[in-house]
Amino acid sequence: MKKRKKQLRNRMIIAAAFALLLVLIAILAPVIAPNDPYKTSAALIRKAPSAAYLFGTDNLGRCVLSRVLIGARTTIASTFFLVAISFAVGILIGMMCGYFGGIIDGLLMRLADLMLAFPQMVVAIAVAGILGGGLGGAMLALGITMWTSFARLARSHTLAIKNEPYIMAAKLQGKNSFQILFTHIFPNILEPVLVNALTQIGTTMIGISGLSFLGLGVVAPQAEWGSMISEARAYIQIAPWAVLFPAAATVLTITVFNYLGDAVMEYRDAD
Amino acid sequence: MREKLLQITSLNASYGDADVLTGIDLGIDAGEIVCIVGESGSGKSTLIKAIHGMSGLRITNGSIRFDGRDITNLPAAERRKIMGPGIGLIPQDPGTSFNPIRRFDVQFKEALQSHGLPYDENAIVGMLRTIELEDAKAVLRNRPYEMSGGMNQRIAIAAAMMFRPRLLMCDEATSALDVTTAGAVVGELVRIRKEQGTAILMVTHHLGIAQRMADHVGIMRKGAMIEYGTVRDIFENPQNEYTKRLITDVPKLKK
Repeated sequence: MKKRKKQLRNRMIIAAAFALLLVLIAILAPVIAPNDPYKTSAALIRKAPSAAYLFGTDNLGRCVLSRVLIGARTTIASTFFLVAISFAVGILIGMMCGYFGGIIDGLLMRLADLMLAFPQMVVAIAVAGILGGGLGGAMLALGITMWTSFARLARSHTLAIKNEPYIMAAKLQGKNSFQILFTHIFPNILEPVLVNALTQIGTTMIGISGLSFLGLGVVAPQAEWGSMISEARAYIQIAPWAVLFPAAATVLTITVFNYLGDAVMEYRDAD
Repeated sequence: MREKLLQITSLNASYGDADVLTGIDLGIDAGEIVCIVGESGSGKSTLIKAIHGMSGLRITNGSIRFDGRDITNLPAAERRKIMGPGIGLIPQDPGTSFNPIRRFDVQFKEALQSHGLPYDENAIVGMLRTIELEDAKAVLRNRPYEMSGGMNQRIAIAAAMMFRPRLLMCDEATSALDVTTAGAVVGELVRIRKEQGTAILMVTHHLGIAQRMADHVGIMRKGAMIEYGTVRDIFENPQNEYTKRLITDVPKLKK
């Protein structure tokens, strides 16, 4: 058993290292990028990968590698931001529902049920469509349903611990609900909710890229993997690399974050 | 007659409709150890809840007096003053009585300050040493989830003893422990009584523990106290059929 735990731990560390590497690439993208990702050139339209343009160039002669690197920033940063916001909103709502119960709980949880009744992507497309394009709109569209999973999880964990003797002891010490929620409940339910956040990263990334692909997220000329794929698919037979590399980047990144989420979850469940 | 430290008179209590405690009479003198024995669901833990009064249990009849004062339906703020220095509680599961991921010293500090008492680390370290936690300073820097059940139980005892309560209530305080650790904990409780004259109300399903430490033993079944007497009376000359069976069942288990 010990050995298995250790294996899982190593796996988790490797996954985390890869994830960290991707984040680092995203952060350092402007430094690493070999060319200006927004510079168009009539002379370099749809050039195949070469030493100067490792991933080739697109329809407007822009360096695909540079655009993929810069796109990593947009995709990863917006994903993290969205997950973080949903996490914060969800955990807050969930804790309050679990802790106070009653009408607040009933109302908010029915609202969450309502959100969950629709497929996430359908809601997101509808909302993003109403809000018009733009990264902000896409994030809001996904966030509308995303907080529910955090809220439900936070609520159930809050319910599980809110009658523990140490919570009762804190009440007896004269602590108010706010103090109890933040000093006792929040740190104790943080771990499972954080793991959930980790597993949500992959899905969220698909969501953001998906909306951008549909033209409801990031708008041209800003580099983002989904919108790059969408732009380049028109000439996929002439310049497959312009689709291939952003697609590969998307697959790789989502795989790494999903794997990390799974690895952490398995490590946590093993004993 | 002089009033006892804790006096419970014809107490009925309920969670909802049905009474879970019926007609309990119990008195504990200062420095006396009383063990309440009964099977699961007999109401013995509920009795402790009725005394500390912080669990949503409703007292429907009778009274609880502590140190000459009626504490039956005390408001929370008043009760807070009595708990701790007056009545200490060692809970059933020490793992959940501390916040598992906060350091012990922070939690001790909060508990003391809530009673308006200063946090004196040396005094607490001394207290932890008396219950054979040698590296007490390091223990205080730890978090409950890092400790074993036995360690946590001892620290819970220390936490209760920190206030030098006049009555210490133990709710199955040894049930989560292995036999050796349980024995050590019982030893510590007996010593605390001897050194500080603390009255102890111990709830347990373990007859052996009652036999080892109690002055008086009460047998509970279905929310009622069916027999009460000195440890000698109960073990050597039980009157109630159920008690007799309980006592004769113990050797059978050992076979």
